[in-house]
Amino acid sequence: MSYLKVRSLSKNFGHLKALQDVDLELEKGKSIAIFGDNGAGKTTLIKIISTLMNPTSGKIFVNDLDLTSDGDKIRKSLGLVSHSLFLYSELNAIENLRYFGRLYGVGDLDDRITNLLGKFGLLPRMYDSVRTFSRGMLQRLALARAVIHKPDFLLLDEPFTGLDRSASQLLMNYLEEHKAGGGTSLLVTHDLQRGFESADQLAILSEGRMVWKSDSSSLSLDEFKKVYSKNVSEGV
Amino acid sequence: MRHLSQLSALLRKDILIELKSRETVISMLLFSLLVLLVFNFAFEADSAAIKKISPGLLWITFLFFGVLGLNRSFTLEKENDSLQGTLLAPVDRSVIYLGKFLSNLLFILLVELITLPLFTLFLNVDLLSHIGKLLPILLLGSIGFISVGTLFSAMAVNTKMREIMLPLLLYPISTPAFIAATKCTSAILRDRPIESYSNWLNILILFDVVFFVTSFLIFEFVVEE
Repeated sequence: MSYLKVRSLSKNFGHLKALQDVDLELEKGKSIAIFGDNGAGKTTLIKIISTLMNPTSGKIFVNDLDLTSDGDKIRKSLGLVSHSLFLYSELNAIENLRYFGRLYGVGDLDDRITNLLGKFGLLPRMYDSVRTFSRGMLQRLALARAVIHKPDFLLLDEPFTGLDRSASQLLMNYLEEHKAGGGTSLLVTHDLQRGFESADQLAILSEGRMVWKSDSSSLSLDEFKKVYSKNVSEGV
Repeated sequence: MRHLSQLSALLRKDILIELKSRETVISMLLFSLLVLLVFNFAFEADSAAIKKISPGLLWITFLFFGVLGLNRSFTLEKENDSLQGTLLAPVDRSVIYLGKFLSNLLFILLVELITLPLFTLFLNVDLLSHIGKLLPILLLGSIGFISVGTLFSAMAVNTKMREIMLPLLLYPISTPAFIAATKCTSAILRDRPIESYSNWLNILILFDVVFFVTSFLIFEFVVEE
């Protein structure tokens, strides 16, 4: 049974058609990586699935809940890691996580925060203002913020942007851990290798259309790169 | 219970940020001082005219620095797209509005209370002996102004000229509340009985109820893309 169902999803910004009749299904516990060049509609898709943006038409169901009517219930199970950090620069790491933890109603919040800060290597800087953090540290804290409520469904929008090698490894480890725990994830990226390595399913979005879908086990990385070049260049 | 806990988290976050940065209250206070200083030089402090126009001057001062505070309110949410982080959480949008409304009210009321003795000092108008009657008007006038201001601040923050956009939207809409609050203040300073300004008081209360409820209900559509 599908955990995520996207049906004929379209989004227009005036005359610009950012997404056109996108269909997508993802089973619980599986991961999908959606690739596409800049302007393909990847971030728009993530924003709509994460309830931050309303679609022009189409339907989305997460765990059989309708996104348009059950947004509040769906948000409880969603975690979004984006190139936007969603953090308050004036606050320190603990204060940021405490704020978001309270919004989600996380129990044993202090233990959860300590655990996450330890996992993402931020304990030595937990009382420092977020403003003083490097880009990599900010991304790690943003990841901790996104998973503070242990979401079932993880949405990742170019999460590797700005990460150094160790931070990227931390993220990959977390994604594996999330998957091992039965979590579902949707990643959008133009990093072909990382996306290919981390997902069960692959899809290509070009000019707002889902032009190709497949299981990652059915082809090699080199084959996928050829498929990507063909589909994206045909779309342009 | 969940809503109350979320409201408390939203409010605590804004207060904590203000305690750390002190940008909102300090900038409003400095602006208030500057306006009073200008009024002090523009008008003779002992003249009869100033007694007459002081209620208007007081509310103009509040409107001027109030816009500064309201502008700052959502600007801090713009950095790192923090507001979107809040919107991702299972929080009713009206609770987010309420949190912002309460923090704005708290900061602006604080500066208003500090401004009252300064107003007395600079313009030689005795406000403090009427403080008991003035405080409810101050609260009602601020509630009306901030109800609409919080909504418009959320709208204006995504526009290119947000510093200009907010007063352009806010001042015309809040004019009825401003006039009613000025009339009530004027009557109180002249020791008139409540019956003499009850109509203005009713208008002020009506404005507060209508615009608070409307803003509370439509905030959801303002923050959604």
